[in-house]
Amino acid sequence: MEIFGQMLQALIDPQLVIYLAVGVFLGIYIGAVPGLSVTMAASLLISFTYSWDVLHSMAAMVGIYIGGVYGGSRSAILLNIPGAPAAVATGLDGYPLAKKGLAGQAIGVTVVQSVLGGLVGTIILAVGAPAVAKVAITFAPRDYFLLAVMGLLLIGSLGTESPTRGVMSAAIGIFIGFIGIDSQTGHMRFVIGPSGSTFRTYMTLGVNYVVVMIGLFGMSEALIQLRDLSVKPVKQKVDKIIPGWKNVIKYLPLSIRTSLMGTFVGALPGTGGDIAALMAYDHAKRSTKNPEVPFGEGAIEGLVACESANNAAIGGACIPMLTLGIPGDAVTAIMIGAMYIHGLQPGPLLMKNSADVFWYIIGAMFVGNLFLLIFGFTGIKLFAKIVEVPKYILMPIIIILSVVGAFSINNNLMDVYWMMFFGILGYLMKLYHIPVAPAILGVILVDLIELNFRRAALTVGNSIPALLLDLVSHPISLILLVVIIGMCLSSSGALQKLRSKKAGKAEEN
Amino acid sequence: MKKRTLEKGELGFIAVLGVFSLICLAASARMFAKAPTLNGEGTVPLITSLVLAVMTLMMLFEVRGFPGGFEKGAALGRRAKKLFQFLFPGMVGVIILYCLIYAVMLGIVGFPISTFVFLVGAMLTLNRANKVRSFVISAVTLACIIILFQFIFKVQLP
Repeated sequence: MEIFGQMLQALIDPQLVIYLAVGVFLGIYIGAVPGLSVTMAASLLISFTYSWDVLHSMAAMVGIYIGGVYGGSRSAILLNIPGAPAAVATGLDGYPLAKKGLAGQAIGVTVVQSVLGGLVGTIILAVGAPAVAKVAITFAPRDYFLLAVMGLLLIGSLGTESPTRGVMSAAIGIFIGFIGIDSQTGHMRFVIGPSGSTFRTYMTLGVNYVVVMIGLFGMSEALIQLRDLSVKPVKQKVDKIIPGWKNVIKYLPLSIRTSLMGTFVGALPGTGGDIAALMAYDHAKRSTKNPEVPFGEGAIEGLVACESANNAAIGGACIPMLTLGIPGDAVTAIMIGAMYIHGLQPGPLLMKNSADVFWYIIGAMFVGNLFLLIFGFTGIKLFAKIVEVPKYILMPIIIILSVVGAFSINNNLMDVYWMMFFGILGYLMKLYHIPVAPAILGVILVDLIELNFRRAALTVGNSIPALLLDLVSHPISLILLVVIIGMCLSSSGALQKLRSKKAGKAEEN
Repeated sequence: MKKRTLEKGELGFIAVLGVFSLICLAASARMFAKAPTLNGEGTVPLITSLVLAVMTLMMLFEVRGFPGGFEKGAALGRRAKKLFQFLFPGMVGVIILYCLIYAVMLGIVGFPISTFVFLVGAMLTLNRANKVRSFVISAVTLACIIILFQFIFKVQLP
């Protein structure tokens, strides 16, 4: 009863309700502007919250988090510039829908699915936080490595033409991620340029993945669009924004499955909505037998999967944050910082020492998702109009937003130059049918892959046979390994060949 | 992979990726040789560059037998012209040039002037018909960006 009362505080305290509502509203619109990320919004907010009461600052943070993750999908759908890494997968089917004049419908679906995913994530957080945290901490470095490899193979399946091109793109992304100082040895890797030059100094620090993301998606898309100015902007249908009950129920099994997937992936420290959305997208692609529209061309199933998963990952990311004091992603890392500022100790003792804060955060997540359902439907008509703006006006503006977004990361002009380089590279990759999304995910996943591979190798004394034995002798690793082998076989087409051979033999008999 | 006509310069682009993967492979191998252990700094780059090289070969293998993008027997000069037209049709090349000039000008004349000049220049290059409209839209866009980013969100502009 006491727990229920603490959760209810999110609903009955008018001031807290206002802070939460404003947070969600601002989060949506900040997340929707290319170049402004939810992480940046949360880090800006933290400076305002020093003098606030702890619950007020948590209310605003939770609101920004929920709204921002959803908001990132708007720019992904309308401009093919994901507002956050978690929205990379959203653009794969959302942008084709906008090109068909269905941006309003796509945004409507993302609102409902984000809310559903958010609620599932919150329920799991409330009910099973300690249990999920226990499973999450049993993940060894080798498991994280396998999980990242799984992510890479999923990337391969996102390739439009062949998995080869997807994996090629991912490998390019991973290589970009290697540039800079090696975090374990302190040695410089793949750093070029004259000694003491700005270029070399920049490379030493590594290329920020947001720069890669803005260049490969935003700038390159603007250049691609400029190839044919004669194409008239598609008039957007914004009369049926709210999806009907029938549609919601139709996709409910998929959205529950992907929400559960998102919550679990989000609960793994160091992962987040991006990997969750990617895995969910792949799951939808593999499990949907006959989509009305093919994946990558505007499949609603693609939107349902990634949007429910990335918002469910919020609840997941809060599990290690609240129960272990380990951030699930960048935003929860900032939230941990905010908690320390207010004298709280996020971790196993939080539930005991500051139960009111623990349960308030869960309550705020429930209510925040309800606010998302209300505010998520605002401004859609206005935002959808963006796609109707003539190309000769819109494309230069997208380039400017890309420049501002790249510069705002480190206030460094070198980021702008690199963003333009990646813009031109992305333009060439798109021209030659090499998908750009895997490259971005490669840059994002590189740390997860390399650090955990090296840790796993170190734990077995740098022996290859011992590492292989380690992989097959632990249940979690073995399961992940089997899944990876299965994915390799299905991507290579070996399974299809085997099936068609069997079918051929059966016909002969 | 479905059979299709190769894009102009596609084989060349794959070849460039091949050269890139070989450079990465050489650099990674050198790094691995310095610390030849499984958890060394060169191991994962070496594996990744091997993947890059293998994927390049597989891409070449996949497109074998695809009809070429250029006319058979076309002279090198004609091929180069066709390739340029494919890569930079219409005003794409000009806009890329504007972008590069804009990036350089940002550090010299600052954000407001260079952005306004870029916006007006790009809009007029892409559509000469609406000169006044282009000027007005550029000014309004610049004002909105400055207000939103600099004053509301306190984001520093170039």
